[in-house]
Amino acid sequence: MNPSDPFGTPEPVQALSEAIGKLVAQTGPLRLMHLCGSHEHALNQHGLRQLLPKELKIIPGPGCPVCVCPAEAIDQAIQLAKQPQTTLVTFGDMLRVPGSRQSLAQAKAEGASVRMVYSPYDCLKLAQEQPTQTLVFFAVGFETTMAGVAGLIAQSLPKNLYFLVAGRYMPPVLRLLMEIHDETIRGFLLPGHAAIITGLEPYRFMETQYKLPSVVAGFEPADVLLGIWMLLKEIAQGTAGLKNAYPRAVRDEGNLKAQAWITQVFDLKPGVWRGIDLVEDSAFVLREAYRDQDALRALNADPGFPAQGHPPGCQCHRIMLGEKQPTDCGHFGQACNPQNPIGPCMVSPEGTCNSWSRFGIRSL
Amino acid sequence: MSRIELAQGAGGRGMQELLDQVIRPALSNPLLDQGHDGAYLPGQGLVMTTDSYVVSPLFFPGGNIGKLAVCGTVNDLAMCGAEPLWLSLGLIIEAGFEYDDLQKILASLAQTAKEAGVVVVTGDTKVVEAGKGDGIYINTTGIGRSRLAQPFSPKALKVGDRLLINGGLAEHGLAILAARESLPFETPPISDCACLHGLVETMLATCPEIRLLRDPTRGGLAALGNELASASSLSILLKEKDLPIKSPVQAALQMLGIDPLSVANEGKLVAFCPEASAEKLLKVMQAHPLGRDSAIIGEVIERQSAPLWIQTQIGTRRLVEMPLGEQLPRIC
Repeated sequence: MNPSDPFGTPEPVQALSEAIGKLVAQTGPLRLMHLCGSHEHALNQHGLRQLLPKELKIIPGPGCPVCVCPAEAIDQAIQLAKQPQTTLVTFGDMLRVPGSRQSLAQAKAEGASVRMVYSPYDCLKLAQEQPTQTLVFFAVGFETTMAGVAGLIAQSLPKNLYFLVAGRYMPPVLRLLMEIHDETIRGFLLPGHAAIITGLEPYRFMETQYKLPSVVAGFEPADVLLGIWMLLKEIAQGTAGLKNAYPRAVRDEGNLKAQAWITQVFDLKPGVWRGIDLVEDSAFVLREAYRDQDALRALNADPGFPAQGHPPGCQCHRIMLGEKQPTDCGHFGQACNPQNPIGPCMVSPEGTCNSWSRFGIRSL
Repeated sequence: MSRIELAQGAGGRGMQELLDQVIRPALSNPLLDQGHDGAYLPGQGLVMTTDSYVVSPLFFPGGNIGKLAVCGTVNDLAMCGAEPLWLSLGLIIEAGFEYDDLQKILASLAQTAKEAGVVVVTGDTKVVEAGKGDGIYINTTGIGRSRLAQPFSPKALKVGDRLLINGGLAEHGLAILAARESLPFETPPISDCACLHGLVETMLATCPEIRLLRDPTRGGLAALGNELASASSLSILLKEKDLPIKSPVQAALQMLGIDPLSVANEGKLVAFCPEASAEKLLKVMQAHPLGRDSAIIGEVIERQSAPLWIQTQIGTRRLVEMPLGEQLPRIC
């Protein structure tokens, strides 16, 4: 928490949790879902569920880009990292994600060339510094990250820089959730970071088609509680508005320049969300104009074996859809832990199982 | 797992397992099993410790591998309540390493040793093939004389004991990370790398009832708290609002998604003392140049379901896990 941020101080938190208590007394027991690993992280890091009435449950959804990255993409990344004169560059989170046979960290320990960066723009420098080396950026993330990647790709790039793209677009998975969910979820907390890029419009179908309230929320304690309170207000008054509780970062129309970059560079195709399924129009893929930079087309990324299926006994798919909680899974905290993750929700600090494990959460 | 992984060297849970399951069982004996930063040797009141330095980059704001190789070992002795006396110096140099850099490192090492009042009395130098080292690795072994009547032990901790720290958290780890990854800071973060034996001497002189000292190096305060609480069979509760973290450090770590509790320090110590002595000890620490931002940051509590807890700024309580330890490899 940033102590200088008023959204992280005790006073607004206190006021909001009291206001939430009053609204829940009116609405009765209910379940809300968030779609963002950073929201689960904020809830756990600050112990926010301790401040909510017992009748109100905040259910974690599928919102961790590292977790939903399919094993096939990891296998391809490892295959590339093992090529001579080739370095695979990615975010630190990706290193321990299990592929079908091993993780990037294990491949690295065996000599594969893997480098960690903090910004996609670091690849540009690496590629310029090592003109004889093939650099492949393994791009994983939701629209917030992919906007930066698109901005990079839209520049004129060194010939030795390629992209293995496994980014995912959030709104279609919410549509999928709406089609299969059990109708006990009464509202959705929308991801503030993703909405900085897209704005509110891609979520309008929640209001018009499904008639359920949804609110974009930020990540400091009072931001999260404000989002919850605004959802409860919609529910209490019987409305289904699409609202923005994070106006200090999110403009309703989003970041138009970032949207233009994304549209210029990426097309949306059906894509596998690990643990969930194939989701229509949810995978960012490079457009034809950028085929020379596309590692899948320009380099040999075929590991030569099919991606391994779902780990036996793992409940991640049902956890990501809000049907189960981590402690319902027999592997949780036993064979599956942050050090040796079995399922996708345990691999990244933003994954629900990982977060519950690190912060000692045992129930909603 | 059939091979060593990088994360097992980073001071978190992976490292603890490597030590507990492989290294300690192979060598177990009563002196080693004290499990402190150094060993209290029988007889003469001597304390011995060793540490190897593999930091990357070799030069960073606030220090370099030479200064670190003295401070780290001196601090391990200081945490045993010992006055540091002698050092050995092992150098493993990669062929092709610049003479100039070696001289800068040695000059810094000599200067730090002189200021700390320790003497390098023996050494060893090896050169390895190009590509088989990372410029230079350094090992120092330190011998000192204990000022304590009774060696420190986590078993001495009691419910109600207070934890004090001598200043801002996470500065060394962030400085290394920023230097290594060329993170674009307007003012680069500076390592807190410093020898703490002088501060310790003052603290022990005023407050001989200090129960335990430990420096939160790799794995940071989170690893320290977990280790000591587990070893004492009690729990520790930190107070988030009392943790001294400089705001630029806080902001940078937040942006990087790194928990300041799990980041390394090289010029910080945590002292455990009885509640009644805490304010007195705090004043002594704050009066020392290396302790101006000292704070009381928590207390020892009855054993809970987990060793380490934190009371958040907004009044809730959560546990703090042993860090996994792969976020910042090769920091010291």
